Amino acid sequence: MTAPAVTNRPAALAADSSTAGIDASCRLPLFMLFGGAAFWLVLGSIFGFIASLKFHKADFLADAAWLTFGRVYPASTNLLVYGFAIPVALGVALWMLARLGRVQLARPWLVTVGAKLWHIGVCVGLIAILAGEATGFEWLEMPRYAAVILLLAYLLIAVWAFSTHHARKERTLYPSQWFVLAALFWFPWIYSTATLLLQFFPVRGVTQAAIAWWYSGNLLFVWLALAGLASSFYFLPKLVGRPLQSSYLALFVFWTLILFGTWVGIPAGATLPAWMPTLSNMAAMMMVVPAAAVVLMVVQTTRGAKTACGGGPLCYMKFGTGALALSVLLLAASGLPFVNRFTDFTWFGTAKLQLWVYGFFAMTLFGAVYYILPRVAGFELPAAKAVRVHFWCGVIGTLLFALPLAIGGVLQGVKLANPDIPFTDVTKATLMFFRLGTMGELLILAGNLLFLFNIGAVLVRYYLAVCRAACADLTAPLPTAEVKP
Amino acid sequence: MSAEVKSPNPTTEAEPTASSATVPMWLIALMLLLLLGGAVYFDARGGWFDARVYRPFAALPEQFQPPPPDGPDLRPGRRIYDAACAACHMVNGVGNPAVNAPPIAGSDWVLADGPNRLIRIVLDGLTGPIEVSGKQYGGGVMTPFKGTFTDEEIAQVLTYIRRNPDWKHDASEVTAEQVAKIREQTKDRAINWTPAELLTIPAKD
Ligand code: HEC
Repeated sequence: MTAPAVTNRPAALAADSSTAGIDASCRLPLFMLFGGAAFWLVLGSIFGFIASLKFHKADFLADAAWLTFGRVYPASTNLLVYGFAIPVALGVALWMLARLGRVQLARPWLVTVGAKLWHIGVCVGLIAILAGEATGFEWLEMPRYAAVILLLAYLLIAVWAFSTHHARKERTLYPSQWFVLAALFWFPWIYSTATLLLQFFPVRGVTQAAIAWWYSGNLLFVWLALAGLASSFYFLPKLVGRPLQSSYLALFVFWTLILFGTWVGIPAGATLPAWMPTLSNMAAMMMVVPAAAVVLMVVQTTRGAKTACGGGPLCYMKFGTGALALSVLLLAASGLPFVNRFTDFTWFGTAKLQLWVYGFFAMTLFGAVYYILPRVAGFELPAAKAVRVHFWCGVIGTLLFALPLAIGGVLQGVKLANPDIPFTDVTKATLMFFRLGTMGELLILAGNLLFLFNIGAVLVRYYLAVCRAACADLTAPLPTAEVKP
Repeated sequence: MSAEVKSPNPTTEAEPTASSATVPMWLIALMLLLLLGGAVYFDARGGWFDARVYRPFAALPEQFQPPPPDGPDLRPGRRIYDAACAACHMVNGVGNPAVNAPPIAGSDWVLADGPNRLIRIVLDGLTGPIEVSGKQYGGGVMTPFKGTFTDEEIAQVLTYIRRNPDWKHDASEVTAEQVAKIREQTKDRAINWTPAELLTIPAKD
């Protein structure tokens, strides 16, 4: 992959590749992807909330087997990643590929079918997890029959993404396109490998743990990062009306992220041959390099720009970058032996992941969706104010969740390392931090509800207009019908 | 689709472009620096890709070094000594004049008949002028390890320094029970021992 030179974009565009035409071609697939994603997001955070209530009151819902901790917790994490993160990222990626290539989306209806199939796969997987059929591998709990549906659906969407890209009119690549294309390849590779080697032809012994960690590390630290950075590198310059600081720096981020990110994820205390956790911890420390480059890029691209963010997409993207930096610092710290002696397998890890998945990835993508949605729908968001409120819920919620748990996690680890303190005392001592965390979780849930509300309102309004138009068509005496929604 | 809707931004939106500023040198330097640190880290702990080496060991010989045919296993004690004591007494036990740490190898304190004084030294630390194997040392302070190590671990490290074949030591083994007993007897002690004080205590019960 070579760095593209500075380009003069052709000003004159063919009629069918006007932005309005491109946006319209993305409409139905994106509605399907975003709508489902918002629904799963809310459902997932409800499950997550139930899971954390069990720490406050252990007998809460303990009689219903399918609502016990061991099921609702994986249900919440899986909905967050497979229900929300992947479809929302795919939607944004499709739109960016079409816009940057100056072409309409290829075969929108097949993409819509793919999106539907994906959501069916998530639904099957969710039911399986709640029914107790989870695989037992973290972030990979959905059993193989759900995995097959998911993989097929993904391929169906990805094929038309590549086909759109192939038909592009603007041949020079923009950095976001590298990130999107790499992400499109990355997921089927890791998901099929992990599913085959863990579920269809299970490997033996510790290799299973190694593969499960390899998969979740790649999913979280490579896939989500590729998708999230594709969005921030696309939207930030656009929102502040300035070129991206440097395509070489983007290239640097791209390769360092892929090179180091793919090793991250094996905890220091893992019972694997020593070189694996050691290398993985080293990679975690190296993640500081791409993170520093991202921060540099974002700061230099947006510095001095006169655009006020006002709680809109720009705010989301900036906060996302901050959360990325903070989370990578925690990640790198937990790679150091004298830190991970105390942080391994404590709340510290939860805090780090929350900052990454929600603070960085989800917030960035929320910003992107709020930008794209009015354009593909063709009208302003019905509840534009909710965007601002959602932003603050997300920011305060993330920090209120992550910071107390990070501190509490370290204290927990220090106490766990002291054999004189009984285990139950250790657990009790973390409760105070955990209460704060639960408040954060509630705020996040509120933000997610606003997201669902906004997307739902767009969908309802759009489909009502379609229905009205259809009715008008049927009943109108004249063959022309015009609808102003 | 018959629902004709107007776009909020009817003008053709410009797509972002990227300029070609170079990657700053400090970023590359940071990466190289971290890589160097990472390499040192890996070298010390990674077992060089050998699938048979598991943590907490870092090399095959260490993990598979057979325990001495007779007598106790010295490996756990060696790890503790290298991690906690070698900073002052050096890995080869010769001591370090820079911190006034006397030698362990060949020390008559270490090779005493019983471990009673040694256990006290490690539990509560030591300070004051000391004569080791006929030579005078002084001015140094040895820190207490009461809160750091369990009885088991103190017994292991003392067994190691008393029996280390490299130093041709062959004194008796120290047990966790012996450490526990002395820890209990001295649990109220808050200050370091002095050699003079220790000499009043019999080395062996
Ligand atoms: C902070 C540096 C330091 C560390 C760490 C340290 N020592 Fe010492 N040690 C000293 C000093 C200084 C003396 C001499 C004290 C004096 O002058 O009274 C000493 C004395 C001793 C003596 C008695 C004199 C001798 O040489 O035989 C023994 C035995 C001993 N240390 C064992 C240990 C063991 C075992 C450990 C690890 C658990 C350890 N030390 C860790 C500094 C240290």
